[in-house]
Amino acid sequence: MKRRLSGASLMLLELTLSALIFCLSAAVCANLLARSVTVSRHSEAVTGAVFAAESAAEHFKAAEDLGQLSRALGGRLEGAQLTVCYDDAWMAADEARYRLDLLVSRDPDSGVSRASIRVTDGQETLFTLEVARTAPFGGAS
Amino acid sequence: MSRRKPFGRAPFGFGSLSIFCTLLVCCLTAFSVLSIVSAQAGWRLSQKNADLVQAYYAADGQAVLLADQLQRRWEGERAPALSALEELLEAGGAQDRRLELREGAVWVAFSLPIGDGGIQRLSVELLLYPPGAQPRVEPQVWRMETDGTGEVYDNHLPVWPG
Amino acid sequence: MPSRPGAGRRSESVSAAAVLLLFTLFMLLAVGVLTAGLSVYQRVHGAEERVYLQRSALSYLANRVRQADAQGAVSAGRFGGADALILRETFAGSDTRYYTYVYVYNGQLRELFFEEGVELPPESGTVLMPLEALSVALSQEGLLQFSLDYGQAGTGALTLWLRCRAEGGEAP
Repeated sequence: MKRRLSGASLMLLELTLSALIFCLSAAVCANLLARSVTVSRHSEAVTGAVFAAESAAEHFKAAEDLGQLSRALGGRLEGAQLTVCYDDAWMAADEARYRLDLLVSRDPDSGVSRASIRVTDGQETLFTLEVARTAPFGGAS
Repeated sequence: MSRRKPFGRAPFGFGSLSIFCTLLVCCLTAFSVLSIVSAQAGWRLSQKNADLVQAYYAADGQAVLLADQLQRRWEGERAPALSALEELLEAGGAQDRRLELREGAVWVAFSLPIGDGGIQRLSVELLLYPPGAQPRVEPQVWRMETDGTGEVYDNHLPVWPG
Repeated sequence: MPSRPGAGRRSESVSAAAVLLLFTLFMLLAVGVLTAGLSVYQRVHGAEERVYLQRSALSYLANRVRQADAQGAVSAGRFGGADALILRETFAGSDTRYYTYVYVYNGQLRELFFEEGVELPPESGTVLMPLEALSVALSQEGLLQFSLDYGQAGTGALTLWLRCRAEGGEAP
């Protein structure tokens, strides 16, 4: 006598196949979602880095010396390098979520002083900027 | 004799689970695709903004160097010829160069391209004052322009004057 | 020994109940995954909107100032009961001065362009983007400092240096 398949067995088969398909698609979609969160966070960090570097560059153009620049940006001075730490909201802070390094150099053949600005998040460089000014730029005072 | 169905009765309709699963997969796929597309679009905009800022400061640095060279040439020689100043600007890659004598001072104007797009430029105008004046070099204009700036774009519809 | 007639039907009911339980469990977990995906999408979308607002506002202010940097052309003042960025320009062939005011009014960043001598109310400005507050300060060294309040999207700040500045910049 032919064995009759129960409805429950077929339902179970359908459930298994559906679960398998759903799991495969969920794995792919979860990967996409995780990547979108990473990209979004990085984009936000780069945007903040750009404007922080821009403000630092403008302060460099206006300041008379490194000491004044350090006081304006609220950073730490080590020789010709100024380091400013920022928190999540890109406000100057002691805890370094983000870090801005500004290195000043003087062109010996001209009266131009240059600053190399680099913003990092501790792991990678978010943004770099080169800025120049004509007026003499002294050391720390 | 009645034919027996080969399958038993299901607890609920066959296919309902498949339909539900298909809907779930579609929704999840839509959310994930929209998320990644939105995030990547934002990333591209951030990158573009960063590139524009770098290009602006590169042009600004080039203009600073040219202004410094002009100042050194102006202070180094007695009344250098305008042609000498123009050569200096040309060697520095300046475009739209104009030099004029104005009441004893030399008015210098030039522009530098910002980035590779060819749309934006940095337009600079300087006044070089004669010896004894302070300051010797004074910037008059130092602004970013887009090609077409200065033209009046009239997009109004023509109206019958009556 | 023959099986009892009700036993088959009972076993089928048990199987059906088990399948139904599994189905319910699967549905709940699947809906949970979907809800998690939706919340991630909302978070990403919210972050993108926030970053877009911050980037647009600061880029706009920076570009506006850089497009106007000339002797006495950029200054800070007050308009509509709040700080305003004031840009002055003249066009070739005319001595008439035109002013552009950038300010916040009624939770919107606005831009108002008018000829010198014309008085306009703050609601006349073209709406650019939503912004809670804008503060503009110009120091003696020529540093133009902007502080922005985006409301729920946080705050932002930007400093620009005016290379061409005359002593006592004028404002209408």
